[in-house]
Amino acid sequence: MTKDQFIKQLAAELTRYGISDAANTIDYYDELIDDRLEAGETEAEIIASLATPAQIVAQLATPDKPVRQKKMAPMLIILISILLVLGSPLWGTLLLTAIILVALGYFLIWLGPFLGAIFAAAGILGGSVSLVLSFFVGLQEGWIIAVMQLGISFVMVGVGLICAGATWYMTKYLIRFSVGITRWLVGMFRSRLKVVA
Amino acid sequence: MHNIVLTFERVIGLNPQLKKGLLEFCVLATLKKEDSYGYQIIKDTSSVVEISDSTLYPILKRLEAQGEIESYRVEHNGRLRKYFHLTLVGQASIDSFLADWPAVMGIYTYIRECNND
Repeated sequence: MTKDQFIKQLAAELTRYGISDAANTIDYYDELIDDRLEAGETEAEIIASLATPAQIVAQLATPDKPVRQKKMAPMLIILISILLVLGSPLWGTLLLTAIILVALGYFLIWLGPFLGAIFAAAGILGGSVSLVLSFFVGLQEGWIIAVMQLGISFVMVGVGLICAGATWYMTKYLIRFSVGITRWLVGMFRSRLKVVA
Repeated sequence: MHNIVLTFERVIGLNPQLKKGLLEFCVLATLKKEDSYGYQIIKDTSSVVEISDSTLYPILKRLEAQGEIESYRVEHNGRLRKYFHLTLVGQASIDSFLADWPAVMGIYTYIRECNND
């Protein structure tokens, strides 16, 4: 883990548990790591020797200043539970629609690479077979037709290679995009759950 | 005084509860010599007691909240370094600890004598 990753994780843990002076804590570890780097230690050594961000936050949550926990009144929990059950025909349908739409979205964005892969496979395989067979066509049907088939074969292989390259780049970017959007969706879902809880 | 030094020399392997109480005074005593910063405090106290990075921060935070130390920032190599300074409250705390120590030693002697009987 690098210093930046450590500080980011620490910041996330401090925010997650609502530690009051998060900025001071981050400043302390930021300064300490810099001082130890100046003293000749490596970033990896320093990070390995430190407590994990979760342990640091647990240590800060002393009995006199416990971790802030939002607790709901029992009556409110019962009321929300009743509303959830009564409203299930409405929110259940909406949730199902949302899930279907998200799945459809994923299907549509991945349709491009899927089609690209099919074209690439068809072009390269078909072109290669046609390339080999053009020799036998030359023997049976004449060399003019064989040269024509050879040309078409090269075009097919070329188109297949272009499709393969395009599919490769599309897949690479779509993986990043899908991971990003999935994280965003999960984060949004979690934050909604926290609000409800 | 000799006993105090001997006791501090054994602090590294000390009971965690007792060690926790002594660490604050170690930090205050270090700042009595001169104003210092986190990493330097850890280094200065390392000869008598091992304070981890994550242990020092809550101590500094607590001492500052109690008014026993105060902090200020000094520019160092293009960044700001936080220095701590011992206040009069902190000095009083050290004095009180040292004044209490003979009583602690009395208890220690009593426990040792009972144990030897």
